[in-house]
Amino acid sequence: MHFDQLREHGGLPGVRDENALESLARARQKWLVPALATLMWSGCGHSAPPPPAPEPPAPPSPAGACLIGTSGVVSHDLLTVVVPQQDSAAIASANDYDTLIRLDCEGRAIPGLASSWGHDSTGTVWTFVLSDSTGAGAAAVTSAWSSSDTVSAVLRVSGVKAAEAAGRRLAVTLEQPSEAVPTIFADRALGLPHPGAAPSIVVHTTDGRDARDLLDDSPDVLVTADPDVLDYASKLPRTVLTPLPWDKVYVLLLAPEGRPPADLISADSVRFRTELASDVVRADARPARPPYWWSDLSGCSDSTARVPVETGGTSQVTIGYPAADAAARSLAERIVALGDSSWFARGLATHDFETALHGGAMDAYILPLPRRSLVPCRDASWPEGATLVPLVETHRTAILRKDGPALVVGGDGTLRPDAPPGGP
Amino acid sequence: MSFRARLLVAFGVAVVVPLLVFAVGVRREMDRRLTAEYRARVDASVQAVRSQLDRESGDVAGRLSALSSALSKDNRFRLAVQHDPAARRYLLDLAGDAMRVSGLSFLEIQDSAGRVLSSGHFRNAFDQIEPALPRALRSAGGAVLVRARTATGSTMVIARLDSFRLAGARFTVAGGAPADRFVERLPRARDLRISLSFAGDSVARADTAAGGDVMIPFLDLAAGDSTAGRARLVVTGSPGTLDSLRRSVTSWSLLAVAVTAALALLLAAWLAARVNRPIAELAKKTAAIDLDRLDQDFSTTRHDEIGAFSRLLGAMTDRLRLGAARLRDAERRAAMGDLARQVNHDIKNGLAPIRHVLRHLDEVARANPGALAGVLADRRGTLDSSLTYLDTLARSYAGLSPALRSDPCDVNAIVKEVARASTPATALGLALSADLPPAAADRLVLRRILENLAGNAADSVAGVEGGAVSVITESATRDGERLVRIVIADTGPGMSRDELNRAFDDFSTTKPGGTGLGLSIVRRLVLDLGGTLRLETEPGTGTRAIVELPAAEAPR
Repeated sequence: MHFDQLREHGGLPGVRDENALESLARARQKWLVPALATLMWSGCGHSAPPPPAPEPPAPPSPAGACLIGTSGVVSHDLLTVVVPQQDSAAIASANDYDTLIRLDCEGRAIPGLASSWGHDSTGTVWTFVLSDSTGAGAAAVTSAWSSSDTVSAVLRVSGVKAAEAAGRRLAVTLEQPSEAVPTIFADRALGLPHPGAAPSIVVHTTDGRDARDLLDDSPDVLVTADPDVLDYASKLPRTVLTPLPWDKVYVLLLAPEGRPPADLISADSVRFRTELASDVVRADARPARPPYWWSDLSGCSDSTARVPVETGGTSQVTIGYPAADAAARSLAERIVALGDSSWFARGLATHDFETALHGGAMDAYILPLPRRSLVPCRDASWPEGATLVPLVETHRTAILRKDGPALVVGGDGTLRPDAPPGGP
Repeated sequence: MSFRARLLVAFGVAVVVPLLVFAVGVRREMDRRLTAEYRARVDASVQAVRSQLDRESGDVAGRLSALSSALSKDNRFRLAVQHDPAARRYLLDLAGDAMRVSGLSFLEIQDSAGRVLSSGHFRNAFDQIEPALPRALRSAGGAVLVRARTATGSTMVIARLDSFRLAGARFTVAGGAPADRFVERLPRARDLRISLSFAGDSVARADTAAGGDVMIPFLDLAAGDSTAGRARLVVTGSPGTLDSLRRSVTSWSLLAVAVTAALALLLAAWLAARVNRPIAELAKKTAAIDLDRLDQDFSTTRHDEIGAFSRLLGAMTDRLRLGAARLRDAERRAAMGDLARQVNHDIKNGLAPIRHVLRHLDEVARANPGALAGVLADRRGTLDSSLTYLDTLARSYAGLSPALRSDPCDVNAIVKEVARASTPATALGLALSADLPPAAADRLVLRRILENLAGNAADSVAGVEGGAVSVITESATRDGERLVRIVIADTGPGMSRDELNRAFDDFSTTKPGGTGLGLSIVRRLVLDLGGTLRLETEPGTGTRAIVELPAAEAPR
């Protein structure tokens, strides 16, 4: 099935910024047209049966470092997970959707819906064999992909030209050959809803309560970066502390027309970042380390729906941050402290923060970004012309019950029970 | 100005002016007392503010002292300030934790160089150099109002300073309590407001003129100002209360003046009416006096000046009545004398031929008795002629004073006859009483009277636009005697006082071509009928001729 056909259908839930992705796709089409023209026949029913693919090799298992939980017991029971408010959506989404592949905490692909995969000799056609435990066949995947313009756009900007289903086999044609399985197939936008009515985990948020009080209720997992909570948990005999991967990088986003404190940052960047990590952020932090996934957005720079920035006419310099993010607040306050008396920090609710960011209401922002991005053009959702100054990276720590089940840590720091995909 | 107007003005001035003076006096006295009370309350509040400021300052100082003592014994703090990396984070969070525990809203720990080691209100302001704060606090020696910078803005605190020595170095601890909370907790007298003001605040200066203030050193770190200035806790009263009271007193005073003035005017009007009414009645009675109408009753039971005046007028009328009687008697006697002389003369003239004839007959009788018959026959014509003359003379004199009949007359019928006989241009308006008693009068004389008066009235309205003549009949009573009153009213030009006085004189007239005898004759006829005639007139309002005749006695 070609993506021109895929786009005629509805979309997946939980995927944001459809217009931006659509425009991304259109931009990519400019140079894809010749290639698509040559391959159009395959999407119009003139294609020959797909060449018999070799049986894919057995996929790797998650790295040992990505398996946490002391008991090692694979549990199908409902797990209680407590996370900060800002992380709840990601972890819930990671457990509610199954993707073809997953990435473990070290970035390696591990089985998802597909139990094995492989590519042809050219490296452009990748065949995924869906696991028998998956209720749906490969057609369900192509159907889901074709149901949303957003998904189509994501596939296009990621260089996926066509996908064809045959039984439990799914053949995906790429624009460019790839030796490694494309990580785009681990993106939740391309996932299928988790089969079965019951989720495998129940996510609770701290909701402003002291996480130590929640810890006293012995949840299966409590994820936090608060050093006070970690200190308390370390003193409890029934818990095990497991650091999660460095999954978040905080950047200072300087608005194009704002009055950014650029001099402040550039004076002694390394020392400055080190000081931020050690003294300012009250969490486990380290100076941000390249490479950064946003370093090269040339492929999508002319196509993202960038919003012109209009800064206020006051003499104040305002640095915005997501109010629920303690690390972002600390970083904003430190930068304000180093400025003069006309600098202020302002915490905003998540929605207001995104509105301010795209509306250019402030001079600068402390922006928490994922340390990895499977779709950079989608995730780089800041105004065109903005300057990003990486500051620090953080990670959280999972506090596990000693007798709790094993969990797999994803590449984005999310947790899933170490259970077969598609299971109850 | 009329007597009534003067009375009203006098009452108004006599009542309103003193009341106004009283109101102004009350207002001024109230103002003075309230201002004094307000001043006392402001002074008391200022004193209370000073005391509270001292207490707050002492409270903050006590907490800082305890904190300094604890820090000087804190080994982790000692290690942190000696650059132990492991204790660094403890140091940075120290002020925040201590601030919350001690109930302060501002806490900053600095080294001797003014470097911020730990800040409670602005955690991430560490390592900033801010020597102005301890310098200002130290030089003030007491509480200083500090506007300190925070990440999101600023905070205003009442700050104090403490210091301690550790490892051979001196550290300062500046801490403070929220200024707004301090201001909110200040004891307030009713209607007093306490606010913070800063240099250049013109509004606050204006307030202070009527209030009081407590000066306090002020350091504005949020504005980057390292020089301590002055701030003031200004105690002001709500001017609205005093103004409201003033307005209330003014309003009530004005209301009292208005009500009093209204009552005074009503009283004056009543009094004027009480005084004016008898005077008006006296004036009316006096105006009705003339030689034909001297029967006005001025008797009264009053014992005041009006009563005396009325009695005086009564006595004067009595004298006038007596004089008029004498005058009439003199007139009558003069007329009778004239008549007697005329009669004497006429009779003498009539008797002279007879006397001559008789003397001739006597001479004949003595000289020639036989010729007496012939002489008598010869002179019989002379005798007859003289007798005829005398008879005619007697008849003529009898005609001068015809005997008037006094029969019951239907006045309304006579009025209707007169009206029918009048020309259409001067049609009479009639208002005739249905139960009018008959008048005791001669019908022809009465008709003559009415025709004369109606003719005069018609002449007076001739040429007057909308002029009208009306005849009114009604019954009346005077001194128990029943009367028939006939009013002939016109809307003509009326008469002046002088014209009225001369109206009944012979040969006096205002009509061109008039003889001036009409009213004189009419009055005589009315008097002959035993009635009265009077005129009521004012220039421009017309004339009313009022004839009153005795009513005929009802048949028994």
